[in-house]
Amino acid sequence: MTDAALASPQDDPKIRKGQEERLEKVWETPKGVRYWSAVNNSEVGIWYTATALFFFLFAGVLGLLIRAQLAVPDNDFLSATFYNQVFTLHGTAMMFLFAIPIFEAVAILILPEMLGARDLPFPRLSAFGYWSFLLGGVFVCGSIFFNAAPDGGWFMYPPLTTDEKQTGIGADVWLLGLSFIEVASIAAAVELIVGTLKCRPPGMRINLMPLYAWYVLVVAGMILFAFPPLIAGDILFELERMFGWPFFDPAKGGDPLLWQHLFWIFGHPEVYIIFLPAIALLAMIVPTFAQRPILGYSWIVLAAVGTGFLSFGLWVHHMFTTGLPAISLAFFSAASEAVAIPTGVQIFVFLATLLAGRVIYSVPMLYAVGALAIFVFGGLTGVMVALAPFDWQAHDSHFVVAHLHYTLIGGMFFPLIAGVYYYYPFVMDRRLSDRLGKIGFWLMFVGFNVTFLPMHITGLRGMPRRVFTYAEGLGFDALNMVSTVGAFVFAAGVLVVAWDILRPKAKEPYAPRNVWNAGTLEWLSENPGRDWGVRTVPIVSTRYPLWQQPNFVRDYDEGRFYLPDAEEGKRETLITSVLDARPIQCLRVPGNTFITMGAAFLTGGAFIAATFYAWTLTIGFSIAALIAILIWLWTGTAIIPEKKEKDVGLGLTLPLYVSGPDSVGWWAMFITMIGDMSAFASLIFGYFFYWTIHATAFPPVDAAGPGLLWPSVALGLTIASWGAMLLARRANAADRPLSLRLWLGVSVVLAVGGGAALLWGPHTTGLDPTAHVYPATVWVIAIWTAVHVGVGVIMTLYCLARSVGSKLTKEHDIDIHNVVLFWHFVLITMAVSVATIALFPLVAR
Amino acid sequence: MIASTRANLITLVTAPTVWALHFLVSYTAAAGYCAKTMADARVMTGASWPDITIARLVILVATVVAVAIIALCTRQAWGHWRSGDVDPPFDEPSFEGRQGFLGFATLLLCGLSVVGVIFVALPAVFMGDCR
Repeated sequence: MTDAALASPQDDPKIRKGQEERLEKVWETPKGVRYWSAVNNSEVGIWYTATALFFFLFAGVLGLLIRAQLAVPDNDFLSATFYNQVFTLHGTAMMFLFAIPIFEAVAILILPEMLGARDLPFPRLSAFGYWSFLLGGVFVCGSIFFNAAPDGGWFMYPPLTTDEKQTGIGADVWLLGLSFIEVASIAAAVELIVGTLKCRPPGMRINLMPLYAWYVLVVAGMILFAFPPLIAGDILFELERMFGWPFFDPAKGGDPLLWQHLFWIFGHPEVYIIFLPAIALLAMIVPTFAQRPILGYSWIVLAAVGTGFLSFGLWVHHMFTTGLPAISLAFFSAASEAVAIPTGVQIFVFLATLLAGRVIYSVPMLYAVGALAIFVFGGLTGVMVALAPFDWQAHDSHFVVAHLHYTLIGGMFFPLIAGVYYYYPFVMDRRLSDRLGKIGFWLMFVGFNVTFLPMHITGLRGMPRRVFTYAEGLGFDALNMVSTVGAFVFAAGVLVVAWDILRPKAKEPYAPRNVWNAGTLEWLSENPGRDWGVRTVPIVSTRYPLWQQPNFVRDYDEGRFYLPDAEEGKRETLITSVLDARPIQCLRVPGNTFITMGAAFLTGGAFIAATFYAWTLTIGFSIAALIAILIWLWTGTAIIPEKKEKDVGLGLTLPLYVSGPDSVGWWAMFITMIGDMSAFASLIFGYFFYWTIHATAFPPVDAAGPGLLWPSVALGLTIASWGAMLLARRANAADRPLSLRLWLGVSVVLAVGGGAALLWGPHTTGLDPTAHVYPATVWVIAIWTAVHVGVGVIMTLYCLARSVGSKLTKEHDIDIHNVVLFWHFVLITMAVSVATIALFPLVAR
Repeated sequence: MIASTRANLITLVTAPTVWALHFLVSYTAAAGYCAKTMADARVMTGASWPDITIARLVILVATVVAVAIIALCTRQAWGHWRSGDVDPPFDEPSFEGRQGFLGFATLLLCGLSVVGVIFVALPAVFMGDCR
C-alpha cells in the first residue's frame, strides 16, 4: 500500500459507513406505487427483460397452436383466417417483442455495472423506451383476442396487406404498433452507444473494453441504420392504406417491391441485431468457464464489426424469387457467403478459448454448447439458401422455416438462456437450479431438433410455409406429426426453465459473491444487491480486473476509487473520453419520475388512435405527448448544478456541467440524427427507385410540380434560418442574451416561411398524391422535410423560453449547442429534398 | 481522422465502409441500369437481354478504387500495429496497447473487406447482361 493510500479518508470505517448510507439513500429503489416511477437501469432492466420473456411465452403458445393445427392433414382446429393471424403474430411478436427488445433489456440491465457506471447517461430515456415497448406490445398482441390481429405474415407484403378488403385493421395495428416500438428501440440504441463510448470507468481504454460492450456498440450502431428504413416503409405503407397514396400500387406507377426492399434492408441486419448480442453473452460466459481470458480478443472485434457491416449487403437474398436480374441476385449471394467468414471466426474463437482453458462444466456452458451445435447447423443451411438456384427450390417452403428456427434458436435463444442462468445471481441475488436447468436443456434441445430437423425434409418434399392445412398422402403426414410432438417437448422444456425463473426462492440462501469466479466488473456486485449499482467507480487497467488487478475487490469495497460518496445527495456517474476513458465530467443523472411513463403512454395513445383513424384523438394525444416531453426536458435535462466543479476523489476535480461535443446530450443528438438521416435516405431511395423502374414516366410528362420557384425559396429561407441560429449561438457565447433572443426569433420566422414554402410548391402546382406515385413521393419528401423544420422551430422556441427563464446562459449552453446541431441536419435534409424534388426533374427528362 | 498516425474508431471502420460503398456502387450500377433499360416492359417479350458493359466498367473501376483504398488502410494499420513494441493480446493499459489492438483489428477488417469486395465483384466477371 502506498503512502497516499495510507492517508486516505477511506481508511476510516465510520467515514465509509456514512458514504454508504448516503449512496443507499440517493439510489434507493422507491417503495409502493412509486416503485413504478423508477428509472434506474436495474429496475427498468428487470421490467424490460421480464416483459420480453412474457411476450416470448405468448408467442410460443401461438407457435404451439400452429403446430397443433398442422399435426394432422385436413385439420380444422383453427380456421384459415385465424391461422393467418396466429402465424403472423407468432413471427411478429417473436421478432419485435422478444428478440430485439431482449437485447436492449439485457444491455440496460448489465452494461452499466459491467462498465463500472452507476447508470446509463439517460435513465429516463430507458424508462420511456420501456413503457413504449410495454404499451405497443400489449396493443399488438391484444389484437388477437378481438380477432383483429395482423394476418399478412410478419413481413406484411403488399399488395395483400394494402388491400383493405383482404386485411382488416390488423395491418394498421402492425404498422403503427410496431413503428411506435421501433422508435423506442432507436432511443435505446442511442442510450447504449453513448453509454458504451462515454460511461466507461477511468482507464478502460478501447482495447480493454469487455467484449459484450463491443457487441453492444456494433449492434446499437446497426439499429441506427436498419430500423429507420422500416419506419420510412411504414410511413409509405400507412399513407397508402389510410389515404390511398399509391406507393405500392402498380396501376398508378407504384411498385410493391419497394416495400420488400425497405423491409429487408431492415429485416436482414435485424437477424444479426438479434444474433450478435446473444453471442456477446457467450463471449462473457466462455472465458469465465474456461477460467482464462478470451483467446483472440481482436478477432472477436473483427467478427462483430465485420458482421455488422456485411449484414447490410444481404437483404435481397430474401427476394431471390422476385425476378430481379441475376447479376443483382449474385451480389447478394456473394455477400451472403462472405458473412459466413466473420460468423465462423467467432465460433472458432470460442472453441479455441475452451481448448486453451480448463473448462468447468456448468448449466450456462451446457446451453452455450447446445447453442453452438444448433447454430452451426442453421448456419450451414444458411450457406445453402444463400445460393440463388437452391433458394428457388426451397423458397417459402418449410425448409426455410427450419433454417430460420435453427439460426434464431441456436444463435439467439439458447445463448440467451445460457445468459439467464449465468446472470440470474447477478440480477436476482440467488442461483437458479442446476437440476431444473439441465432437465430444461435436454427437453428443449431434444424437442427442438425433433421439431425442426424433420421440417427440412417436409420443406424439400414441397410443403409451403404458411398454409393452414394440407391434404393427406402427400408425404407430409408423419413428418408433421413428429414436428408437432417435438414442439410440445420443447415447450415442456421452456416451462421447466420458466418455472425455475419464477418459483419463489425467498427461503434459499443468497448466491456467494462472484459465484462463477468471473473476471469482469459486473461481478463486483454483492448479494443481496445494493441499489447504488457500484460502490465506487473503479480504475481499470486490465480486461479482467477481478482476475488481474491485485487488491481490486478490497479497494473497491472500501471505496478507494472515484465517487465513493454522494455528499450532495445527487445521482452521479463519471463520463470519460472515447478512446482512453480519461475522466472528463461528473454527470448528474436524473432520478425517478412518472413523467416518462406519462409521455410514453400519451405518445402511444396517438399511435393507437391513428390505428382507428380517430384523428381528433390522435391530434389531442400528440399535443399532450409533446407537452409531457417538454415538461420532461424542462425539468430533467441540462440542469444547472449548484457549483461548477466537484472533487470526485483521488485528488481529481471534474466539471459538473459541460456542453457541446463534450456533453453526452450532444452525442445523443448527433447519433439520433444519424438514424433520422437513414430514414430520410430511405425516402430518397424510394424516389430514385421509382425513377429507375419507369423508362420515361418519372416524373410523368404532364406533372408540373413542384416547380423550381417555391422549393428554392424554401431552401433560401432555411439557409437564412440556419444562419440565424449560428448567430444566436455566437450571441450566447458573447453573453448577449437579448441578441440571442432576437436571432432565435428571426430564425423561427424564417424557418416557418421555409417549411411553408416547401409545402406550397407541390400544392400550388396541383400535385395530387392519390393520382400517381410521383406526386405522392414528392409530397412525402416535402412533408418529411417540413416536419423537421417544424421540430426545429419548436426547439428554437424552447431555447428562447430557456433563455427567458435564465436556464440558457453563457455558462450553461447545452440547449443551444444541441439545437444548432439539429439545425445542421435540418439544413442537409432541406438541401437534399430540394435537389431531389426540384432539381432532379430538370436533368431526368 | 481517416489518415492518422493514431488509430481510432474511424480508421477501424474505414475498410468495411469502403466495402459497403463498393457494394452500393456495384449494385446500383447493375440494378439501376437493368431496371431503367427494362422499365415499363418487364414482361418477357422475346427481345434479347440488355447488355451491361457500362455497368461492368463502373464495377471494374469501383473495384480497383476500393482495393486501392483498402490497400492504403492496410498499410496504415500495419504501421499502427507495428508502431508500439507490443504483442497480442494487446491488453496493456497504454497508448501502445490501444494502438496495437486497433491496428491489428483494422488489419483483420481490411482482410475481410478485400475478400468481400472481390466476392461482390465476381458476378460482374461472369455475367454480361440483364437476364
